[in-house]
Amino acid sequence: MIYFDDIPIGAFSDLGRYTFTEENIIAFAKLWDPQPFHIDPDAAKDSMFGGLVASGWHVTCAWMKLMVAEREKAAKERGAVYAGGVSPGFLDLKWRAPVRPGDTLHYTSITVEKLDLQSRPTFGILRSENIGTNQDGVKVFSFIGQAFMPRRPEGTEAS
Amino acid sequence: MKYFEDIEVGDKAFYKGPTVTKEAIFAFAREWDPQPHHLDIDAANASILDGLSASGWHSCCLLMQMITNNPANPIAFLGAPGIEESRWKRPVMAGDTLHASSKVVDKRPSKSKPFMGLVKRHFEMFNQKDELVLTMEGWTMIARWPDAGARGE
Repeated sequence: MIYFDDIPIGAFSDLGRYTFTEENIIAFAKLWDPQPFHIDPDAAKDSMFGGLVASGWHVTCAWMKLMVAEREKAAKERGAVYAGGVSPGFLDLKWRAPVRPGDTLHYTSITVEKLDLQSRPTFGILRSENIGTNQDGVKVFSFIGQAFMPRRPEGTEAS
Repeated sequence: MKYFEDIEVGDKAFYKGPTVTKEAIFAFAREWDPQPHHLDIDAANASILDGLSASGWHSCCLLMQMITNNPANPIAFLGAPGIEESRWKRPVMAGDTLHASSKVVDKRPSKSKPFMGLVKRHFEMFNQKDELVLTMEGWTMIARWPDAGARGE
């Protein structure tokens, strides 16, 4: 089991890639963010984006999907099971540039800060900087994620 | 339609939300956040959240859905550059019925794009017990009056 104490600042994860298509952009936005420039290719042409763009929440949820997949892979291949997974929210989320049909984003995550929790001494908060870069090398998405993680119980050693 | 000029700091809005079913929590989690405590009742009961809860991202999407499905008060939204902060105060649990409110906390015209302005809003989402479950604060891009240029504004 991997605990708060076991993760150093600078720990880096390559989360892999997600491709946005007209179909998955519209399907996501119809459910969660039905604005014309996310669901209607014709109306989107007349918008300031000049064409269909993905909901920022779609860009964000794709990060989560890849993060969970990466954690599952780490557990299967390396026996690296992360304790915790509950989050108190996020900071500084930036949708820096439009994501369009055909774009493939490469997502990464790096641990940038570890906070002690006065109210819950058996837990800490890990902060990670998460980035999505498109196929042209443009950073289109970033945010600071947070996760509650239990500290290593006394008397146990890192595996 | 409300434009940038029609919106004042202090303006409030209220949004009705859905009842979040177990099936809805599973469906979102399967697609976007397949962690055991969002997918499996036993794992959920054993987690520190003590029951089946929605993904925090599901909660964010539910708020977005409530904001965009608000036909009584249409605003000329042009998208958003991001979210400064979102606090997940309490999990959204299976069976919760949500509602939300927003308050305009700041506004300024765009320097680079004269056809739009930026409005900063603070959102709060509550459950049926009026417990605060989530806050969100950030800027949204909103079109200016279509004839703002003609008026020399």
